[in-house]
Amino acid sequence: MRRILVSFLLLFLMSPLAFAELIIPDAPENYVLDQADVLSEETERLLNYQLSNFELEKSTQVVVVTLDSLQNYPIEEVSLEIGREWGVGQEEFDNGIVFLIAPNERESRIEVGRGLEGIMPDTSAWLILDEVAIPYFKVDNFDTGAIEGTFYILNVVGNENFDISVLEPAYDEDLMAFIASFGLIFFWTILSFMSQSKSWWAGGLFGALIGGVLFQTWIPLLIGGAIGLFMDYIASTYLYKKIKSSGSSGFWGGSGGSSSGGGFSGGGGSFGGGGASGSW
Amino acid sequence: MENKAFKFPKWGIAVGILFLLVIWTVGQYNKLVTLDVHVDNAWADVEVQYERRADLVSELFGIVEGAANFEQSTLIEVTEARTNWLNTQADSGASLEAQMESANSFDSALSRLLVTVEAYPTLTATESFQSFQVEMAGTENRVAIAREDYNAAASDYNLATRKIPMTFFAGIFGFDEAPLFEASEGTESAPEIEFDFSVQ
Repeated sequence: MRRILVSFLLLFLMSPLAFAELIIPDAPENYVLDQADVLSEETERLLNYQLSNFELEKSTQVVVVTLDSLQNYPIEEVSLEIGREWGVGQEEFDNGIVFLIAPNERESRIEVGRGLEGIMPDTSAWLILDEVAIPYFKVDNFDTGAIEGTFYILNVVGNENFDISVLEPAYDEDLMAFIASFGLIFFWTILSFMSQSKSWWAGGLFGALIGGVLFQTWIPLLIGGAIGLFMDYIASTYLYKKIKSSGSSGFWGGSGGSSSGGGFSGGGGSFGGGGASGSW
Repeated sequence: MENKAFKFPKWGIAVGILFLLVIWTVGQYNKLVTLDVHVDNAWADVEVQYERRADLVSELFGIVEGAANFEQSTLIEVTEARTNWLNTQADSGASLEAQMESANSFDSALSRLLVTVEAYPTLTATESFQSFQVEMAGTENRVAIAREDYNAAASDYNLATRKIPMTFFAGIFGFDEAPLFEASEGTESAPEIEFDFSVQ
């Protein structure tokens, strides 16, 4: 305990010094990243199952991470970077937790997102480490330590229910992206069609039509007409040659669909340094 | 038909360029405003964390004062530094630099006290002190992060205001340079710390 406090002081005093840049592994597809390879496959499956269900229930994201090396950084800095870079927790609630185990440095930390600092104060995080997880880590039983530690973490933060409807918008975003890309293609097709002709009245007619149909009144019809005229004018004069020579292909090549299963995908929660560290 | 193509007036081009320039400047200005707000938010977080520490320090006083013949000088130093910080904080006219300075002296006074406390085993062995230490460690971590975040936000902002062409406008629009936290002065003469690396 004393060592921890001293190491905080050191972190504090030396923070302006330059270290070799800290490298954070990419965000995993699951809720468990066992880089140090100290967890059994069964443990990983169990934790992953619990943690993904937990997110579905409460929207709180908890990840369990074991690292080969802390790269000579204080564990507080590493866990903070993991939480921030992966975006653990929902952006709306900042309800993320990083349970980090560094077996080689014999240190562990529970990093608590800003939104959970109330329900999981530092002393609670410390108790879970000191009384539950670390006794197992001490005898190299990382499986039980990780499972039990996670169990208590979920028990504590499970007392707060966040709105799980925030888990839905992933859909809307995909839909919006789809509509937007569809709109872009549509727009581009129209544009290239109109620039084929050197005349620029067709755009005006088209704009007026859209304005009139969409809003059913005169003013949008006129505005739409004016915008259409202007765009067709630009298209016909400036884009005419370009599009004709290059064709209109290859402009929207890279729109891949995003797939999401039941895995981990960071919600963008923020961290302010809450939580506790321990060593053994 | 092609002969009758509409001729775009030359002044139209000038107007167009001017229009784009205005749009672009507005965009740059808004970017600076955003960065400025980030700096303000980061500073607010610094204040929150120092506030938290100031509260915790009064708790520390409660614990320490119970200990017999505790070295008074460091205690007094911290009390003064804490009061100084709280006063600067409350003073709406205090510049950021002044607040940072008081924060820095608060830092070094407190770190000296915490080291001194380690020399009192009867004190540190108590359960109330153990839980206090967890709180203290968490607070120090938050303070350090808040300072780093503030510095990052302030550097971004400063960089944006110093780049051409915003460097010409920054003064006009009232975007002053944001001060940065530097390594506090006291830390260079940090007291000798007896590290206890024995596994407990």
